[in-house]
Amino acid sequence: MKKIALIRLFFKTSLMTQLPYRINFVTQAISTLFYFGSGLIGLSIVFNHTDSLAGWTFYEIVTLLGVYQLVAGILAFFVMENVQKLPDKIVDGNLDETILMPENTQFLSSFGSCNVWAINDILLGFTIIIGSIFFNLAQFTTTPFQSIIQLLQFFALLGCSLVISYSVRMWIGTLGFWLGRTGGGFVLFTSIWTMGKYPVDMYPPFIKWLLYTLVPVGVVAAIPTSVLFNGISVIQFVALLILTIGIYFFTSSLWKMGIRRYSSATS
Amino acid sequence: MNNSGVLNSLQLIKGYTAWKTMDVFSWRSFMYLLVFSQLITPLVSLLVWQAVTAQEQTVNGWSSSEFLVYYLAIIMVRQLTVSYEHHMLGMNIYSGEVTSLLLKPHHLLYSVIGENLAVKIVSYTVSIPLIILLWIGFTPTSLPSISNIMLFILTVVNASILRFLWLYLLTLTAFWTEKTQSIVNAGEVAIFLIGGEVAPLFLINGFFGDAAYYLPFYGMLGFPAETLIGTKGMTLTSGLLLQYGWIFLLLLLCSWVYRKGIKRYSALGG
Repeated sequence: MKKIALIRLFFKTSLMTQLPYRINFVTQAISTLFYFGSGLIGLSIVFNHTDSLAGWTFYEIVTLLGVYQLVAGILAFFVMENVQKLPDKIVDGNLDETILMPENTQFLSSFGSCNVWAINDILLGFTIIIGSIFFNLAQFTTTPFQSIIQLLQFFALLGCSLVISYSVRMWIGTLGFWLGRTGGGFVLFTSIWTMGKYPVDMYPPFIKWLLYTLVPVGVVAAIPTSVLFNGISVIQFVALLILTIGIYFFTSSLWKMGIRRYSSATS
Repeated sequence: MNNSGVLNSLQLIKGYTAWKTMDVFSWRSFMYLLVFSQLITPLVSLLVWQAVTAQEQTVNGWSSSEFLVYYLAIIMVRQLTVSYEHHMLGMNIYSGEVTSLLLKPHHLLYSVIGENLAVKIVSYTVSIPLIILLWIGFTPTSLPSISNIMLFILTVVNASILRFLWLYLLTLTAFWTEKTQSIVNAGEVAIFLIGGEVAPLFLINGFFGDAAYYLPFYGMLGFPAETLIGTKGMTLTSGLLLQYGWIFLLLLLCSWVYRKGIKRYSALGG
């Protein structure tokens, strides 16, 4: 409860620092729409020449884009900025004040400042998902019971997506304890991450493997989307939940190992 | 620019390039990461079209091998026309550091060009071996002829100038808005969207596709690539005309915007 209250406080202070620059909301909205629009145009050019891509229809891939956008937006909203600052903080010894505070250090290093304008990405992603559910309402009403289960599974897996994509970024930040400035890792990671805007099945085996393991954007975006349309077996679903919990615990133990290595000469 | 300076233009550019190369070389590992990340989006487009043309399908007469050669060429053009100096220029305008450049007895552009060439030199040390590895690794069935390679070099130099001018023009908006970085990024997306990276232009149907042939973006990306592989959406003469025409237009625009912007610029101290 205390953590939620803290996040609310972080949000409030970030909002207050950003509100004087309200015009940024408009420019951010325009740029979000521009990037999404350019993605859609690219996709429609491809689908002018084909009916499906690795078995995915146009609407399914648009939904995939929506899921990708939503996850990226939520992450950008709460944690991205803080996690990306971690390597420099570790190397420059600026973690001192975080450690001195009476709260979990991993929590304080992940949350802190909110990028409030990322609300645009969240709204857009959410709209796309809701829209695509309505678009497929016919399919959902023919088998209502199964569809409700699929929807619940979808939202549960979205939660997993958030935990996983937060965790992997946190690993890059935490590795700073051993490797120094790992900020470049974010650049590399983010550029590979964008491959998840397309169905992962489309890629050759090696890249596909990469997108399911080291840069798990396939797990984060493609799997929930396909669950929304096609469902998932109970075993796979439970396995994904267990995997997510495992990843979460690995992240926090990696952090604890890292923080033990931290030393700072002065304050 | 003026005759009182000791150095002529060429010496100035040479000097700046050498100096900035050392500077960029000091953060080369980040540069190498950028080279790699520039590889991703054309690679994704290539794989999309490979998925579409899987099982011996063709799209407007192009099979997967044509797409492969085309996208190898696109990757080459993207890497060879690489340009990051606008980030530095934008930040220098914001921080007021551009003042020290304005005080020098020559145009600001010399230092920006020097920086652009420096970025290219450092990035080529990785991107050219990478390009060679890609050509060897993917082993396309048809290789470009010598004359096409010569024409490619000419058109890719033009494309570099075009891309440089386009991004420089967008960076100059830093005199008016603090959102220059977003504007420049959007400008780069425009290059890739309607310049021939998302799809070769002849696959874009309708008015949108026809109009794209008259915009500078095709000259920055698609045209040099098509020159290399020998399939042209446009004859060589009209392509070169497009490139030189836009270089001329952008030069006029840049100098006009620069003159307007510099009047707005103010910085305290020094």
